Amino acid sequence: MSLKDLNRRHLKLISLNSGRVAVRGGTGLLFFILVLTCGLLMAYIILLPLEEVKFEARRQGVDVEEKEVMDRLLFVARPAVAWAIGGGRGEDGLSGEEDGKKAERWTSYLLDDRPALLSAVFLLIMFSLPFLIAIGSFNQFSGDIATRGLRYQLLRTDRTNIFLGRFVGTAVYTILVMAFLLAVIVLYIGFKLKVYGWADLVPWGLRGLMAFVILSLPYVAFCSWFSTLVDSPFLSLVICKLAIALVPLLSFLGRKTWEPLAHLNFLMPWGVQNHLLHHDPLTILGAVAACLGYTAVFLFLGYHHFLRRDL
Amino acid sequence: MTEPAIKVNQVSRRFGTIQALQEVSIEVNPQSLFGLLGPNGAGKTTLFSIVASFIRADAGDVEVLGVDVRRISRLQNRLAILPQDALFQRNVPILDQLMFFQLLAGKTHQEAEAEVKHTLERVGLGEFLLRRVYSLSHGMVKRLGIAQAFLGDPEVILLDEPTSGLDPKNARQIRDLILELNEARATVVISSHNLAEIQELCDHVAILDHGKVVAAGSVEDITRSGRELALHLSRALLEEEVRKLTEIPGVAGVRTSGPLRYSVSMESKGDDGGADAVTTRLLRLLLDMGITPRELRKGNALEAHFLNVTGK
Repeated sequence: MSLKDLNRRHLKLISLNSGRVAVRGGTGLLFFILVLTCGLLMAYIILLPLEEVKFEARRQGVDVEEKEVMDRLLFVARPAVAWAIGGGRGEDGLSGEEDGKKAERWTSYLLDDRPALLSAVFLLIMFSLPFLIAIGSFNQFSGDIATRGLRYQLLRTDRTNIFLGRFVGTAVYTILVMAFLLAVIVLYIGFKLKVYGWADLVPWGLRGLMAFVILSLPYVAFCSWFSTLVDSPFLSLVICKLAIALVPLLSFLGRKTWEPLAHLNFLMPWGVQNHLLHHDPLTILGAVAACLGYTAVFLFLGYHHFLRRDL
Repeated sequence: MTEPAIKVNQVSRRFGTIQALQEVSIEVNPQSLFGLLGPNGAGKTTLFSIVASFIRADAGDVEVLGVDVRRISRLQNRLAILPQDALFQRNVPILDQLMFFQLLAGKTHQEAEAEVKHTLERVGLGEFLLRRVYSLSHGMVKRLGIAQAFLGDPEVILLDEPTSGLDPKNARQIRDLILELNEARATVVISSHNLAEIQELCDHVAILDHGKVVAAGSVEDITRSGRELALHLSRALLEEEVRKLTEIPGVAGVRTSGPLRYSVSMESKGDDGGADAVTTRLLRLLLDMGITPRELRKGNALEAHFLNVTGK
C-alpha cells in the first residue's frame, strides 16, 4: 500500500461519500450551523458599532458622514488589529523600529487600503477557524474505526484512497461552508451597509476566501492525523481542540518567562496564518508554503499511522 | 496439485498479554466450504481479520488466491468478508451503501443499482431498499452484511458467524444461499458456534482453541473415529443397562442428552464390523432388554469431537 495505489475514481467516490455521510450523520450539519453562527456573530461584533451609529443618526434626523464614522471606528480598531497581526505582542506587534514600521504598513494595508470592516472580520474569523474546523473534521476516521465500519471498504479499495478521499471530502466541505459564510458577510456589507464599492469588496472577499482555504488545509490534516490515532470520536474532538488551543496559549504564556518559547506557535500554523492577509507577496507566498508544509507533515503522519494500524 | 484458495502459514498475533493466535497454519481448498470452529476467544475473528488484512500478523504469512495479503489491493473484488461486529452507516439508505461498494468495484451507476437490488432480493431485503440501517432489525442487518459479502460474486468469501442472531427461517435461507454460492464455485469459509450448521454445510473444518489449531481436516475424517447415535427410548436406562450397552464392541460411551434421550458415541476399531454392525447390535440388545427405540438418528459427531478436543 502506497501512494502508487491511488485511484482517482475511488478518491472521488470516497470524498463524495464522506461528505454525504457527514451531512446525513449530523456532524456536517452541526459544523455548518456552528460556522455560520460563530462567523456571523463575529461579523456582527465588528459591524454593530457602525450600524448603531447610522441607526442613531437616522433616528435623530442627523446627517452623518460615513467617512467620519469609519475614521472614528478605525481609530479604535487600529491597535486591536495591530495586536492581532502581531500575535498579541503589543501594539506594534513586532519589536524594533524597522519591524514597527513594517507592522504599521501591514495594519494600514488592512484598514486603509482594503475594506477595513472585512479585514477585521477576516482576522477574527481566522483566529476562531482552527477551533471551528476541528468540529467538522474530528470524526474523519475515529468513529468508523470504533464501529469497524471501515472494514466494509477495506477489501474494495486501498487504505491510501480511503485516507486521502476522506481528507479531500472533509476539506472540500469545509471550504464550501467557509465560502458560504464569506458570501453572506460580503453581500451584507455590500447591500446593507454600502460603505464600500463592489470593486473593493469582491476582490478582497475572494482574497479572504483564499486565505481561509489555505488555512483550512493544515487544520483538517491535523484532525485527520488525530482521528486515525484515537478510536473514540469524542476523544478525538477533545484532543484536537486541546492541541489547537494549547499551542497559542503555551506560546503566549511561555514567552513571558522566556522569549524563545513564543516560537511554540510554529508547531501549528498559528505563527504564520495572519500572513495570508499580508500586503507583501513574498510574505504571502511564505505563509502559503508554510501552510501547505504543515498540511503535508500532518497528512504524512496520519497516513503513515493509518496504513499500519489495526482497523 | 491445486493451489489452496487460502494458505495460512505459522501465523501468530498477540494483543498485549493475550496470545490470540499461535503459529496457526491452515489450508483451504479452492471451491470448498470450510468451517472454522472454536469456543469464544479462540482466535477465529482474529484469524479472519488477518486474512482480510484488517490487522497484521506478528509473524507468519497469509496468501489468498496465491496473493500475499500484505498486497491486499490485488484481491479487490476477489475476496469478500462478513465481519463480525462491523456496523453500517446508520443514516444512509441500504441501497446507497451497497451501491457505493459496487461503484468502488468499477460498476456503472445502472449496473451497481441492478446488482444491489438483485442481491438484496436474494437475502430477503428487496422491500427495504430505501430503509436506513437504524430502522432494521438485528436479523435484517445481518442479512445486509451477508448481501454486501455476496456482491460482485467474489471468489473467496469469509463469513464470521453468518447466522448468529437469526431466526431459524432466516438462518435456513442464509445456509441455502451459502450452498448456492459454493455451487457457483466460490470458496466459502464460515466461522460458527453452530456445530450442526458447520457439519451440514462444510466439507472441511479446523478447530481453534486458545489461538492454536487443535484439529483440522475433512469433516468425514474428523468424525470418522467418533460417530454419534442419538436415541429416543421408551423408558429410561438403568445403570446396569448403560453398562451393558457400553460393553458392545464399537460403543465408546453412552450419555444422557435429555429425558429418555441418549447419545451413543461409537469408535471404529476395525474388528467391530463397522458402524452398521454396531448399530444393529445396539438395537438388538435394547429390544432384548424390553426397551423400544422410538427414534434413532445420526448424532452430531462434530460436536462430540469439538467438546473432546477443546475440553469444553
